Amino acid sequence: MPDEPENRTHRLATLRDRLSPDMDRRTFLRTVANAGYGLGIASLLGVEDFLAVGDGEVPVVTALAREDPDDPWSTRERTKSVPAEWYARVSKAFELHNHLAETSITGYLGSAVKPGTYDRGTASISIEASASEIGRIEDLLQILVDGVSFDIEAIDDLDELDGETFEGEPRLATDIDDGVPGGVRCQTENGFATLAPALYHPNEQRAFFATAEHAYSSDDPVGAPLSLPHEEGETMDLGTVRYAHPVEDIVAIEPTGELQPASRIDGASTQVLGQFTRIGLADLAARGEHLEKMGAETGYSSGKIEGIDAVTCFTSDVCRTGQLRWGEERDLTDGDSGSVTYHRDPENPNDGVLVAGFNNARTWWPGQSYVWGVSAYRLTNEYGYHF
Amino acid sequence: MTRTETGETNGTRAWGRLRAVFSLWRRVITDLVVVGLWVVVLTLVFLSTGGPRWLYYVLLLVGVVSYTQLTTSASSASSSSSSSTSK
Repeated sequence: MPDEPENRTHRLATLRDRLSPDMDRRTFLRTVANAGYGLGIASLLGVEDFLAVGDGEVPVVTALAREDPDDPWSTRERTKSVPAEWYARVSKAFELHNHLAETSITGYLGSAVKPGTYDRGTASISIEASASEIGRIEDLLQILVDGVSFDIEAIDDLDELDGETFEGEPRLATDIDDGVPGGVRCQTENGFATLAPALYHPNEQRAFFATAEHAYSSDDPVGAPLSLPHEEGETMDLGTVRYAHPVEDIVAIEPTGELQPASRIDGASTQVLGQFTRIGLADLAARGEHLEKMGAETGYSSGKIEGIDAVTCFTSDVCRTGQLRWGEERDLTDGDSGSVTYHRDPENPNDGVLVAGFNNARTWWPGQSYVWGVSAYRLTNEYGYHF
Repeated sequence: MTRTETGETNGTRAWGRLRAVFSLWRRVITDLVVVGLWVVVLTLVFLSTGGPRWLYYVLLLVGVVSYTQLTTSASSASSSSSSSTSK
């Protein structure tokens, strides 16, 4: 360097002169480095997957449905063509949402993917974070993402919900000759819940009764009994808990008595033909279709999908993944837990319904209003159960 | 006297160098966080609005360049003021 032999005083005096041309070079390098880093992150996030996608349609698996309505082991994948642009964005939203959930940011309480409509070909992610613990970075992200999802959020059909009347009396089992259907009251040692339609496990080639795990207050309810209060006053044994899944909040009950589970929803007189996949739920959301449920306390209600593949960390230290959010909080009350959400089979609307997921809880915090529970596809992916 | 003065100067210089290293790292980490966040937010916005591809890259680069320019002018102003106060 030419300055090297000069004395210290002189070097100090010229420091500022040297500083400003040096800063320009540094700024230039910083700009290049930041831009390169930004493009690198963008390619890491795989933005080209959805930015470069053209027009056209792609086939997706929307459901696992039975070929023979009476044979639960005849399930086949149901495919449908959807707009490629929409599919690319929704898939990317699921992927980014997974990353977000795995990052476990302090103050993160939950999030969900909200697919947009087909003609807009969009998808968004909504994030909930605790206001007290949140840093300003997460705050910024939340505001921006919330702002984005705002214009896509479907307006609730208030008329329909207002018109609903909740039954004062619980729904008790009546017709159980062909098996016990879902949507009726069942009883644990600790209280009441709603029975789900028959849940099948491929490894055991048999049907289980199912309801919400939190209907049992013990930490390990395996072996605990489940019974069925009948309309005529007697209470019958259904079976004992064989498998308990506290995070997913479901129990599978092995039938021990004469009663067997049925693939039906009581009251709706509908046969259960299978279940929706994650993208199948996104397809319903894109088309603004309503989901329905039959609970033992509040009876029948329906509502729009609020979020798919949701994560909720509101209730415990463990985050629950693969959740489905739909409807409004008034659609569920104590004793409705264990009921399922369903929608008529899009291909055979008159033959029966496909299950979307369980109903385990509702929002009780201000600012949000929906029912949530584990999705059917999540149980299938994790444990192999299917409806 | 001379010795203490030299000692002080050495101490101040060592301290200054430490501060320079520290502020450099703080700058680098802030850049990584801010640019990363900008890209993530932009991606989420484009996922939900469906804007064209060229606009995504234009906004990405415009955002990064203006952020770098803004923080540079701010930091050079603060560094010149801090150097004048140290004098």
